[in-house]
Amino acid sequence: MLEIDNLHARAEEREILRGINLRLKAGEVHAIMGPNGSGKSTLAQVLAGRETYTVTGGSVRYLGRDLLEMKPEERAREGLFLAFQYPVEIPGVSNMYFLRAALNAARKQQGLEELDAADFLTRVRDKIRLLGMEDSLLQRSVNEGFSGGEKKRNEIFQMAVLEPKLAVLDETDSGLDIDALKVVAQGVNALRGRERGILLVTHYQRLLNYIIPDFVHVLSNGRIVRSGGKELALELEEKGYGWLETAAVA
Amino acid sequence: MTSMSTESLPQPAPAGEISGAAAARPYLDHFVRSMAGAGAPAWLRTRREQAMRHFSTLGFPTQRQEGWRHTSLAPIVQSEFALAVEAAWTPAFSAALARLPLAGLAAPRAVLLNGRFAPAASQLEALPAGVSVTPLARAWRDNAAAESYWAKLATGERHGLIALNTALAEDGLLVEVAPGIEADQPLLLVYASAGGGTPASGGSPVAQFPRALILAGRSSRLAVIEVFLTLSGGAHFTNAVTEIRLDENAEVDHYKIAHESLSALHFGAVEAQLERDARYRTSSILLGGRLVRNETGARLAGAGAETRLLGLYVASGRQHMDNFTRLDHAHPHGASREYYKGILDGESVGVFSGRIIVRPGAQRTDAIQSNKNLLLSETASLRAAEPQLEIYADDVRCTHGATVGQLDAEALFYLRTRGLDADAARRLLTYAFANEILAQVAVTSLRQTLEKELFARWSGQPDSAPSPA
Repeated sequence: MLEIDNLHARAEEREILRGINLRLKAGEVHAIMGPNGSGKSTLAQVLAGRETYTVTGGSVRYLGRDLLEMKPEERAREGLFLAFQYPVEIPGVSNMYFLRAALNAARKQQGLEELDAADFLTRVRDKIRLLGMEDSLLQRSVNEGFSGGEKKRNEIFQMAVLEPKLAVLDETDSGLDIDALKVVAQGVNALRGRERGILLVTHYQRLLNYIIPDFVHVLSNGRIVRSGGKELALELEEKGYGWLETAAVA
Repeated sequence: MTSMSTESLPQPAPAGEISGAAAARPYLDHFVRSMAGAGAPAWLRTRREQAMRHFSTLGFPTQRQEGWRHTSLAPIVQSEFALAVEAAWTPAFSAALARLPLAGLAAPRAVLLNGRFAPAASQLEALPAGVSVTPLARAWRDNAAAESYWAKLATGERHGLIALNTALAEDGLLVEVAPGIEADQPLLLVYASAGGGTPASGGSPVAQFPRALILAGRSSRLAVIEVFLTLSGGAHFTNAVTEIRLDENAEVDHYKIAHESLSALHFGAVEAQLERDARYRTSSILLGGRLVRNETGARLAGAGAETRLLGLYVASGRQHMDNFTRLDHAHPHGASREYYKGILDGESVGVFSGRIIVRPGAQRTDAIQSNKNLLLSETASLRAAEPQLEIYADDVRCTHGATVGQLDAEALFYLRTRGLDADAARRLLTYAFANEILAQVAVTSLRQTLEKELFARWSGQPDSAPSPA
């Protein structure tokens, strides 16, 4: 589903990704862990098409297509979803309009009929409940005045409605209390399925108690320095990132 | 004084390259003709003659004048207009009006055509009890309130254009709300222009001088919507003056929507005076017109008065929109809030200047002014004057801020990662910027109409607007 080969990317003059290799198959959940500044968020943003980063080498294939050739909106319509580390507030646009426009953009791409407001509501009601949110959320401006936890929950709600093929979650767990974390995990677990891939970018092992990954990768200094099963996360929790960084430099 | 010749008037002062004597002459000539044999009461003739004298002395404002640096009236000064073209209301006008959503708001309405009351197009049967609307041409003759209050807030003593309106307005509207009356539905005042460039106008564009006087009695409440439209003959000059008096504890929610053709020239002044504890909200929404200068003034003339000025100006192409506001705090414990937003595209120019005066003794005044602008093209520009604060009291809170910016790149990316293409994302964010002002429009039907109108402008979709509740 996702094949990243020797990916290099820079922001202005600074090289951040320095040769990332990763294979993610449909049905798998991968976690990418690493210290601050290791390039985790950059990787997530590059996958979503952020133009402030320049890809200087390597390739990314998504569902057999050259992902880097696609605009951010094309990636989204082809089922790639990025849950933002810092979801953006958009005063003046209701969540309802925003989500319906997003869903209809994807449906149009798939040759499906666009949903009107009533059909849309029916469709999203149970997802609102899944995330323990109020219906009134739909009428509020996108993320405006939301607490950190509410914003993250709203990201997962969007993901639940859009049902992406590949979900990239950029530190969705950061700053959440344990109850909010459980809700977010529940949303992600509900999405797990044979046809979907999930890439969790996280700083903390804690999330992986609730979303059990198939693979864990450790990112350091722009490269994946270690890959393993879910036990790797526990090892990291125990030892910290220091020993891997030392190993990477050596 | 019963008659007046051009000779008895002082000649217009040589006021620079664009407003010489030649420019004022046709208006003077017209004034003399219109006064001859008119059956107007003496007080009215006196007030008009004074106004004409002011205009003769002041002429059209020039860019060398304070508050006019960024706006040239050359397109008005250099044009010849047919003055006061009497157009009969026709079914074609009714049809044209019906196509304009803003004119279709479900509310009692008074329609002026080229500044004159058009009974055929007005619907005043369903006015709320205690609210009356009278054509000024009649009120001038038999309503004492007209004599007491007309052209008292906006005299034109220091303003050539207001003077010109005062001298040449031949009709208009007097709106009265009796003390204690809380009108349960809004009142719609439609100012339509028609007939320019036709045989009726001798082929020239028309000039119109609509005028309104709104008197809100003690503890009364009214929402009033003024809409300016072009029904035919694209180019015209509108010089519109509205005076609003709020008696003690009265509440007026006023809207001015300038939605004339893209070749229209528009000057407007809305002058309000608030007595003790009165609450005045006014919103100026500028959407149409080639050259628009819109002045909003409020004088807090009693303790505890509160006012909120909202503005939204949306310009593209070569439109020029100049917003001028003046808040005059004359008594203690007054509060004013001023939020203006501009969206400028193409080669358009937006201007904002806001004056706040806090007079001696107006302690505990609390004034906030904010002006935010969104530039959608590299050729659009905003010219903001430095905030003009004149503060003569010491226990005062006055804050102001101004921004000019582009769409937020972060938000654009966010929308694109959700599948909206770049264009749709830009349009949605543009709408969202405007929505901060629209959301404060308290008359639901008006708010929805404006939301639809603006959303359609940017998205091309006549669909429901994306506003939050």
